[in-house]
Amino acid sequence: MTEDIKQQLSALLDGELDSDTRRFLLRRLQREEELAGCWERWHLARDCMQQQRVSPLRPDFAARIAAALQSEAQPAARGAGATILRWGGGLAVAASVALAALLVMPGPGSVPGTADALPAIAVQPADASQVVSSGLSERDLRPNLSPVARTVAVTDGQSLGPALRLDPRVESYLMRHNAVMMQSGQDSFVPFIHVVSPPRQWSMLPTADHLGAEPARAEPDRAN
Amino acid sequence: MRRGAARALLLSIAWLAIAPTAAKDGVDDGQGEQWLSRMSTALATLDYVGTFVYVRDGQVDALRVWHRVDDDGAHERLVSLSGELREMSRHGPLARLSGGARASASPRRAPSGTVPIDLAALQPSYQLAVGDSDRIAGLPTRILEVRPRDGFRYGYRLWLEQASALPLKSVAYGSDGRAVEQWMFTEISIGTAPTDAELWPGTRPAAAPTAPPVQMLDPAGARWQVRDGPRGFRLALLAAGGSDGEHHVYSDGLARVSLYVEPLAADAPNLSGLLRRGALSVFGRVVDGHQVTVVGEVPPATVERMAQGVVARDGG
Repeated sequence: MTEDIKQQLSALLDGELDSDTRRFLLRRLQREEELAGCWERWHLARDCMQQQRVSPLRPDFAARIAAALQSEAQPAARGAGATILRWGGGLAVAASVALAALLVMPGPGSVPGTADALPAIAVQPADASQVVSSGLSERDLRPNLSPVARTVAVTDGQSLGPALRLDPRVESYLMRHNAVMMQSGQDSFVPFIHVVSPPRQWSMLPTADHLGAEPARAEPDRAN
Repeated sequence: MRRGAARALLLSIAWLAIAPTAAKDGVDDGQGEQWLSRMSTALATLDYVGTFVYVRDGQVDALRVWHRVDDDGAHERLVSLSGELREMSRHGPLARLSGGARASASPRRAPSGTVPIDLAALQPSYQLAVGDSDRIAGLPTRILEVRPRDGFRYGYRLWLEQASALPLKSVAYGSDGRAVEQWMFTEISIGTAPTDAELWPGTRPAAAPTAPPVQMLDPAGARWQVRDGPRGFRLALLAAGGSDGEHHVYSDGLARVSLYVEPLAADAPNLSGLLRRGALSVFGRVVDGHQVTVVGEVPPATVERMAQGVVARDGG
């Protein structure tokens, strides 16, 4: 890597590169792994040194907006019968994680509350009314579920369903999903919102017994 | 005669009273398509800077967005203002989450003026209607209803700024009419191009996954397919997945769902079951030694049905 390129990279880092040179350098960054790696390292170093912060809003900003939104009327119910998904109790996730989680089913022989159990936090029962009927039942789903990976802790003696485990692979899937959208010109409004604004606690819907109680209004067809 | 004239007058008055309402709520008068098309163009071409709130599952977050479109493509910086400090910046084909992950590195990009929404394809799955006027972030808006024709996709109520059709508020709702996710600008400056300094990320890095560059493939060469999938979704794109896997993108003209089929990793547990967060749903299962994961802003039933229908193409 030449000194000239390094200087350009530095200028790019500071946002001081002119438009033509920036375009040229961005294209090189896409093609050259060494250059991209250097860029990442420099950025990391600069960020750590500067420790920049975003100007905070007033402490009650989010609460006031939430109150305003709550007071607004929601779209009228459209009459589709909601499937009742019986799911008692809930699970929670270990703290300070990135974005997403998937269910990992407890395996045979696993004992809740053992040493390798995940930390259990507040329970948030699933909102059954948001589940749309799919024509599938728990019996259909269970044989396909993967074997147990880890156990979970018991909370308050409640019967526990599938354990939660956060998995960065889901975040990676989201990134790739958006990348393909960008690449194909099928962009949308702030496509990375789920990545930038991760949940502080995932609400989970287990695969339940009554998913197939009320089929969706339209019959399925071949997806491809 | 006078009686007939009076009846005609009454009918005329009644028609005048009904006509504006019928036009306002009209479904098939083409206004909805026009507004949706204008919105797509606005998203692909306009510069804007603003702050918006994002609500789902009882969680409220504030984010700030800087968006600029120039000869290099779309530039966007999105920063969370509440909770963990996270940031995503996009410069043309490059996207970077705070922490160094590059989501993509492809020279292809959407040209200015691209309409990302396929108006023709969405007709069988959605019904459009233009609703009332409203005011968001101090600006006059018109409400556009995007109603799903079945439960395999969410409906949307969009508040579009009158002059530009840029969406200032969005509510996604399920078949029961309950909102699953919504966002709304509290302040926005439309037509203001953010500077390079504003677009460049300035946050400390955080742990983030790395996404490999996307290699697009010919959809005809797909080795996996979805049988009895949710109505209206068609295979729109095929890309190479990780570890000799496949990445399918299905679309109903508006909603897009990604299907990943990848060989099982020896050192990682399988992903199985359903996850929902706001409008985002994820379903994972294992098929013939492969991890199948479906991701999209669609109801849980949609990702579930798609995942359950995955079979090898040569396996019939």
